[in-house]
Amino acid sequence: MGKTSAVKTFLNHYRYRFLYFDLSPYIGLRAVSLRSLVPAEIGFNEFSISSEAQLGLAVVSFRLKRLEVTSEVFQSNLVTLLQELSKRFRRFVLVFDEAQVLPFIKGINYRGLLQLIHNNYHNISVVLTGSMPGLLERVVSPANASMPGFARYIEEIEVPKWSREEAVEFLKQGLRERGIAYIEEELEAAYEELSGVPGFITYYGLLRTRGHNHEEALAKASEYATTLWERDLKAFIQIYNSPLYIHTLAALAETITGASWSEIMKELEMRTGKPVSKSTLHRIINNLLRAAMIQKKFNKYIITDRPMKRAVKKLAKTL
Amino acid sequence: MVVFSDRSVTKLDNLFGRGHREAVERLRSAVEEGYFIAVLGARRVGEN
Repeated sequence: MGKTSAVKTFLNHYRYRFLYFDLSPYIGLRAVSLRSLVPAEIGFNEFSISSEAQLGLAVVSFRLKRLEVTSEVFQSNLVTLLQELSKRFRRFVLVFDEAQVLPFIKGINYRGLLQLIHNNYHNISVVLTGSMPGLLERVVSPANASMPGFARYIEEIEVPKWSREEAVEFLKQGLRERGIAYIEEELEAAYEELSGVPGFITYYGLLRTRGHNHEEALAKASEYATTLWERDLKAFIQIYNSPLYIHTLAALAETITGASWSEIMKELEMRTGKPVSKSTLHRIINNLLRAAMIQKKFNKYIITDRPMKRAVKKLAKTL
Repeated sequence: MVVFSDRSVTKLDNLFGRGHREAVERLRSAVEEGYFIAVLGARRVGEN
C-alpha cells in the first residue's frame, strides 16, 4: 500500500478513463526495450473509440503479430490514439508507474511526447510516479532550465510513510477482524523494525494471518524489506555508476546518530584509500538526499530506515 | 476493512492512512485542472 495504491484507488474511485504503464519491473536497467511500454491496464472501453484509434491501441499494445513495431511506428500510433482519447473523453489520465525508467527506454523521445501532450491535449493529465525523487526530477526537468516546458506545471504529491499511530491501528484492526490475538508491544515493534513503510507493515500483517507468530512474522517481513532494499540500492548504484555511494551509505549505516560532512569525507578517504574532492562528496550527498535514502538532521546525515541500514551493510561487504 | 495483501489497493474503503487519502483527493483536483502530476513515495515495495 503505497503510491501505486493511491493512484489506482483514485482512478477506480472517481472512474476516470486511463492508460496505465507499469515500468516497475525495469528499474535499474540501463537499456529497456520498447515493449516495456505495453499498457498494463486499459481503463476505457476499447470499442467506444474509432477503428483508427483501436488500431493505434493494438499497435502500442504489440497485439499485431505480423507488424514490426519500431519506435517511430509506436510513437505515431500513440499520438493518433491520444488525439482520439482527448476528443472522446472529458478527462483522460496517462499513468507511468516508476517513471524514472522512461529515459532508459530505447528509441523513445519521452520528453517530446510529454511536451506534445502538454501543449495540445489539455484534458489529458499525465501522472508520473517515482520512488527516487531525484531521478524523477531528471525525467521532468528540461535540460535547459530556461526552456519553457511541461515541468513548470507539475503538481507534486507525496505519499508518506505511516505514522506510528497509523501503522499500529492498521495492524490492530486487521488482526482483530480476523480474530488473531496480539500484544500492543508487538505491533509497536513491527512499526519500529519496519520503519513505518506501509508495504512492509502490510506484509507483517499478512504473515500473522497465515499462522506465523510475532517473532516469525517480523523476522520474515524484515528479511523481505532488506532484500527489496538491496535490489533498490543495486539499481540506484547502477544508475549513478559509482561505488562511492555504497561507501557513503556504509559509513552512515555504522552510526546511530549520523555523521557530519567532514566525518563522511574522512571515512570515504579511509575506505577507498584515495582523496575525495569536495564537489564529488557534494554530488553524492545531494543525490542521496534527493533519493530520500538519507536525511539531514542538525548538520548530520543519517539513515533512518532500519531495513535499509541492514541492506547497506550487506552490500558493503561485497565491495 | 483492513486488507493484508501484497497487491495494490483499488478501493477507497481499503486505503489506509491520512496521507494516502489526501493524495487521492489531490490527484483528483490536479486532474480536474489538467495538470501533470508527480507522485512520490519514499520507496518501492514489491507490487504495492
